[in-house]
Amino acid sequence: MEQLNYYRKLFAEGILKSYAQIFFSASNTFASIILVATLINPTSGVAGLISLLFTMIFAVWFGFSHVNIRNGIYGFNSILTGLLIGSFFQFSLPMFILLFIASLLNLLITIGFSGIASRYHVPFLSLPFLFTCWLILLAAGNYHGLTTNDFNVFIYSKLYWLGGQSLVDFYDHLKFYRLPLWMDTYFKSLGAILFQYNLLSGLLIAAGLLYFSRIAFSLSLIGFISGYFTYHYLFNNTTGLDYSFYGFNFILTSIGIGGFFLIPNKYSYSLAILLSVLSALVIGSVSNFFNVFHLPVYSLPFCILIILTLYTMQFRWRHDRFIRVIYQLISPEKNLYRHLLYQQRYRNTVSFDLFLPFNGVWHVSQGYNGKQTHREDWKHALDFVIRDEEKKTYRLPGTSVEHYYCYNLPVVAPAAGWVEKIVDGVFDNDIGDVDVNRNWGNTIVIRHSNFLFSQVSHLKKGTFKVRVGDYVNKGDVLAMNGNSGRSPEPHIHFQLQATSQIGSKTIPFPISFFMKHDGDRVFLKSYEVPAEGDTISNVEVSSVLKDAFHFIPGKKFVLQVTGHKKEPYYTTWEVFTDAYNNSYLYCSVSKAVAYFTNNGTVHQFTSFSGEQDSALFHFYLAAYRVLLGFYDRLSLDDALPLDVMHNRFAFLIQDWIAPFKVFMKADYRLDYSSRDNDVFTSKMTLNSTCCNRYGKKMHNISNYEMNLSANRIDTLKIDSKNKHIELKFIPGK
Amino acid sequence: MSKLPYERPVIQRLNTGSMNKFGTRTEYAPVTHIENVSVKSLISEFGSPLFVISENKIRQLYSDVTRAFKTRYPRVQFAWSYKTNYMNAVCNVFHQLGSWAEVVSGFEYNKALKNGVPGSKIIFNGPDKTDDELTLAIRNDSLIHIDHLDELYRIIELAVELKKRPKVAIRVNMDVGIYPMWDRFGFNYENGQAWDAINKIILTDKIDLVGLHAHIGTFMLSPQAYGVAASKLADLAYHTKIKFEKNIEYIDLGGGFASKNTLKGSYLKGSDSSPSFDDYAEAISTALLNAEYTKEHMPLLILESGRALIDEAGFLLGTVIANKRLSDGRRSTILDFGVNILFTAFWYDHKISPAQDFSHYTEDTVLYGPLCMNIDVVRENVTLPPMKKGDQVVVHTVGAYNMTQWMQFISLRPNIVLIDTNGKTHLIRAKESLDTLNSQERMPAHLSSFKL
Amino acid sequence: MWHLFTKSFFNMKIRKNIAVSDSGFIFNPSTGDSFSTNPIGLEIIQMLKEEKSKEEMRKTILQKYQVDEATFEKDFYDFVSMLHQTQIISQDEEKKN
Repeated sequence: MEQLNYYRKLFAEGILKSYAQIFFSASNTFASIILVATLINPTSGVAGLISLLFTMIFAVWFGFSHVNIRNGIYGFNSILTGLLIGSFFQFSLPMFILLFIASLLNLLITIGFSGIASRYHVPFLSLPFLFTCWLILLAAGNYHGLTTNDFNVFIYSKLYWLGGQSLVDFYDHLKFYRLPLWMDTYFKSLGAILFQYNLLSGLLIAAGLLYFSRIAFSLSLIGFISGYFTYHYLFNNTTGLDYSFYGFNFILTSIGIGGFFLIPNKYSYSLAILLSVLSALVIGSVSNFFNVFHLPVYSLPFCILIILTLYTMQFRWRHDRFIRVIYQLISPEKNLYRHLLYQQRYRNTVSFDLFLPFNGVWHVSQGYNGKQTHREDWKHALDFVIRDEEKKTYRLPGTSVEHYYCYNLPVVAPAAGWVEKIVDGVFDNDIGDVDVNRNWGNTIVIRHSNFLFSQVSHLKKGTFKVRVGDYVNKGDVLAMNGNSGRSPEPHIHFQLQATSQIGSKTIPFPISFFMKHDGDRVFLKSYEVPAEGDTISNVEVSSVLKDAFHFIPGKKFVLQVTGHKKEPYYTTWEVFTDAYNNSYLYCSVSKAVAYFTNNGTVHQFTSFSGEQDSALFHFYLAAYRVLLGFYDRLSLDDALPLDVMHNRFAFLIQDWIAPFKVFMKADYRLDYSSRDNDVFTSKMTLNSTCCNRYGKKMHNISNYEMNLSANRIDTLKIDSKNKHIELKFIPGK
Repeated sequence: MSKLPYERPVIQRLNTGSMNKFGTRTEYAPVTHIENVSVKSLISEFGSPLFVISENKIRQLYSDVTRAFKTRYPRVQFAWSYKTNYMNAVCNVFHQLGSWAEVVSGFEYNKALKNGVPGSKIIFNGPDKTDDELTLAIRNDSLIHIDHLDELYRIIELAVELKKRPKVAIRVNMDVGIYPMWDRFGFNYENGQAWDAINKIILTDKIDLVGLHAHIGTFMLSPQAYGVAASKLADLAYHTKIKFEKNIEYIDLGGGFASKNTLKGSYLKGSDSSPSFDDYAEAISTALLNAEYTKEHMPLLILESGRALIDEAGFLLGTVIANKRLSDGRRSTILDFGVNILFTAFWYDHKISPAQDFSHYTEDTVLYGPLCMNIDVVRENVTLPPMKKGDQVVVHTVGAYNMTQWMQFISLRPNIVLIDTNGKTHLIRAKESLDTLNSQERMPAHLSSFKL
Repeated sequence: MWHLFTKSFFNMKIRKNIAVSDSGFIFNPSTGDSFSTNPIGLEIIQMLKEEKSKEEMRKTILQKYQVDEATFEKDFYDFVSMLHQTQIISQDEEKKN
């Protein structure tokens, strides 16, 4: 029984998602609209559905991944094949057998292409459908028993079949409202993607597309218009598009490159236009070629252009401007907002935390692109020294290395990793002297991941505390600072690189969190590269904050909530980890889920799903980003996901122009208000504020006050939407 | 015709062969100014003898020591040792720099409070704490370092009476590889007394054990001893964490860092042989960072340095009263200050410089003070240029202990002046007068008159 | 008062073989000792070698240097006693002028 349910769910979801995939979507509503649109030509639509079902059954029978069956990747090409067959031939036994064979063929070609394509990091799009249908059509002449479907030819018979006389009359009525040719062609092109050569299908799909994504919709229009008028201009042949065999190439290319495979921005939109223009040319040439074999071209130009573009993009030197989507949310808006959020929160740092390789407060004597030695391939490097109040790096007389404050101080690992290489045995230089032969001096290289190494140089001979092959944790002492190599006075040289060779070309990499000291104020810097002249230190973690936010799997919080509902109630929050080792808090009452990360220095909530009024939601906002160190008068800022603070209506307007300008903002701010004692802290208060913002005006402000006592969170006071809620964390087991 | 400057004729026997033990020429370069203020003007304004403290030097020493420690260990806190120099102005320099207060008696405790130090930032050491003093300290949330069991029990009783939970530490003594080992203060580590005390404190659960304290000696010339002390304290903290799941918040290694003074009997001069702040910091931080305890929890490191932060900032200016020739031919010069105000002359050979120019001729000299006591010797053997009555001298490195251990014996205690970071002079303690002493005395009625 | 000192206590004749250099080094071949003295001491020793009288020496010094009588008296007395102690001045002869 359970198994039956499982398969029922698998197929139901697989079917819907396959339809949605055709338009780069995963929206079930859109999928239903597309399905309905395909049934306007009933033979075609039913054939498409049958083909899909056959493919899914084959996939399950063969034993392929259910994940890919469920998300529609294996299915959408079958739908297209089925739709094609159904639009050409009438239902009959031979046609049915043809569907059966075609769907199997589709599955095999899809999976085969998927394997090849993934090696080159490109998608396979509708190539499987193209190859399948060519194979079929090339042999079509041999099929007897297949009668062609002339449904499409007579539009009135179609309409009558669908909706009776009333629909025929309605259509006639519509004829008076004759659309401009391009618009007419646009809708028909949309329908043509599904082999439905009629306006109604196109209108339905357009409506569905608009519902699914404003960006996709606007791209479809922009792409179509660019391509259509180019084709018009170049070939002066508009009738060929009346049947819209080619128009959909413009639409699909534009949506694909402008909003699906790339993050939608002005560059991707420009590229969408250019490629649409290009496809106008490609259509012409390709169709001339294929005409020789009496084969249709369908979406071949779209496939060629997108695959070629995505493949060549990998060889770029700069990876900005056109940003390939890595974490595909199957929605241009979601991709865009997520990308913008991550840029604000994490400056798009690859998920790896890097810290400073020393203890205490040091000074950046040379930064990236420094004039003295940080040039060309080695420009992404940092030099650190220690200075006194008079800005001297030594005590008088400063004639020998021992006089320099940073000489012989411990140098620590900036992040966890394996010791890859060590060079020892180089003597310290006298002050003012440099050794250009062994110009890195005593050096250590640590491997953090396959393509990420850190190198620290100019260390002191004979002071290494680790050996090659050792695993070091962040903060472990590696060696003492010296004056070896190209070093006229003691300093630490620090760089990140992509290979293990000493002195490799450097790569820029920000420090995840550090404190910048300015007079007697400190500021938190996140995901930034320290600048030359800055005075900086690693974050000093406070044990109260560290313990209070130490959420490990299995930890339970019992809370008493007052002021939220009519009566106070209790709820339990528990910490779980999912299959990908991401941790989250789960609320037993509201079933809300809040994902978080904690790297020992900062606790951050990364996503939330569930009721936006639940107690956990407020905690998610209140503790969105908490630095686990306490500094007087410190305040930190962060960007909240827009959908958490703004209502959906605002998005309907923002979405259209989001790729160019986002005027909606959502801010988070945390203030380290007070603690009772610097050393024996038993009580601490943090205040945070969340709001949405248009320009300078703030709305929907929520204020939170978190009180910590004796290493745990004690209370959270919430002041939001005119409600005053208080959460009391009951000290536990 | 103008006359040449006069210097008295001297003749000195030359010792060939062996090196002259009594120092090289730079030992007695003249010191005419302190922090750009002339010695002559100081003495003419404030009299002689005169203690002079340089605020600049204090700030520089403090920043040296904090830098040496903070670049090696993340959480460090200094507490100024009042007994070393409790002049309020001096204490306030340290408090302005962020230092807490460390006191060893009720009077010092009240002095710190009056200076404005918050009670929670006063460390109360010492074997003699009266009930009143303990009560005040507990009320003020001060950190009480317990010396013996009697004190421990009394504090527990007071905690119950006052309905408060005082924050305490225990002082631990231990073998750190040096001689002599001080075992009269605190609880012993090796025989388990310290562990017992910890157990008692945590199990009675009436007071909070927040720290462990060890003060291993004074003028310590071997930094390694501190490393051993730090390891042993960290070890106690680790076992406390394992058994009671309680974190020790701080480890206090006391004071005892050597200054640049030369100990009597030492062959090398102090400025060459005393360890530097970096040496102490290296020994202590290495020991702490390698300890099991600190892998999870970094306790605050507290240091109660005194001498090392003030000695070099203090100078004593004096004047030559007279010269004599001793029976064995040595010159003796009598100064207007002696062991009455330079108590540390008992254990250091202070560097003494003339305050005016002179030729390079020198004599072996004995320096005496003005007291008519045989023990009043400032330096037994020092090579100095010939000085005449009225010449001025500067004694170096006198900031520690002299201004707290001086006597009102035979002469009245003189002025103390502070030179600030802009070179301005401030009188921070006025010299005593007869009234100062007489005001404390009471005459019994039957002795108030007499007839001679 | 001056004459009181000069009269009885000290012989002021430098021993014959004492070597005196211009830079202030004194060598006594009979004892093997060497000494150094400052310019003013050197001047006095040279005057003693020339067998000048006390009065003459006193006048010369007082004229040449910024010093008062009493101080010089004191210092001279001290210096001569040192010369005696170091056996630069012989202790045998009693004669005095």
